[in-house]
Amino acid sequence: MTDREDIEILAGEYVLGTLDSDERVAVSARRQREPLLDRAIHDWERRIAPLLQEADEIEPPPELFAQIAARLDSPMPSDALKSARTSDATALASLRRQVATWRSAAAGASLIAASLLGFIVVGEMQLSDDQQKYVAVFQEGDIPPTFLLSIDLETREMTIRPVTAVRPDGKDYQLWIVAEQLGPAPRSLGVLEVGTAPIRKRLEGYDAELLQGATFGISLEPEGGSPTGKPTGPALHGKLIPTAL
Amino acid sequence: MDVLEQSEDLRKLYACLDGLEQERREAVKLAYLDGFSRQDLADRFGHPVGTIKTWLHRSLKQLKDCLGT
Repeated sequence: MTDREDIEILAGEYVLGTLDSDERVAVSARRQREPLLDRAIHDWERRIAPLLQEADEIEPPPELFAQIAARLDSPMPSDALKSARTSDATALASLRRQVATWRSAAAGASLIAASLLGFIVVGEMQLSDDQQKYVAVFQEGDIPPTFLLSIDLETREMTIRPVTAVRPDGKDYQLWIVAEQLGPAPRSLGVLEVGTAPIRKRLEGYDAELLQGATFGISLEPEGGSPTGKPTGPALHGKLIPTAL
Repeated sequence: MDVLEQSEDLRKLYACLDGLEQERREAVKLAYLDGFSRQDLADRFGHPVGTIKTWLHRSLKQLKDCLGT
């Protein structure tokens, strides 16, 4: 296989969304300095995008636009929003796929939704005044963040936002923690009541150091939570990163 | 881009997708439209991840040759 073909395949998988997280991050960085790769990615997006017309159209929930409007009315630093918008073309590409399903209901949905994604990310970053604030992003490959978790290590208060997560019928999302101090098995932090509102929990009994080094997991389980006490379904993982850099 | 032009692109893309074996065509669509990872595809089709990777690579190459642009 020639280098040129390598680049084509890599770009193709990037657009399909099948690269693993490490590869994806590497390609995102490489395309900034490799015009050939960047071009190949654009070409693949153009080639495959017509498939989006096939995506099933669904009505957005009625409260969605009111929520978006409320968020757009909130004060927001325009520079921060701009950088959040442009820094991750990948997220936008993924998002576009999601909003394709809304297209019939509102022509402007993709733009508004893009702003919304930017706002949520920026909103989490605004916590940065406090050294004790941490955030974890639950994301896999090409899928936009499904959950954002933020936690104040001082108060142990945790907020989980289901960014794009929708609870499938008959299933529940369950939150887990894995830490060296807790042994090898994941420990349940409970079932997440996924609706439109952020989920708040207080993590009593876990010290800050443990939480900082812990891995959090969110798995899809039968309704009511895992019957075995261990994660049984597909899971997303995230580690805490400080919001103050 | 107007609707007619989009349809023409879609028609061409479908014609090329039809050139892929059925499971590979499914895999490409599941990856792109439903966010399936290589592992998800491996589980769905009951093949090792390595095989899925090969499928995707060959499918991409075949699609590109077929679309010709």
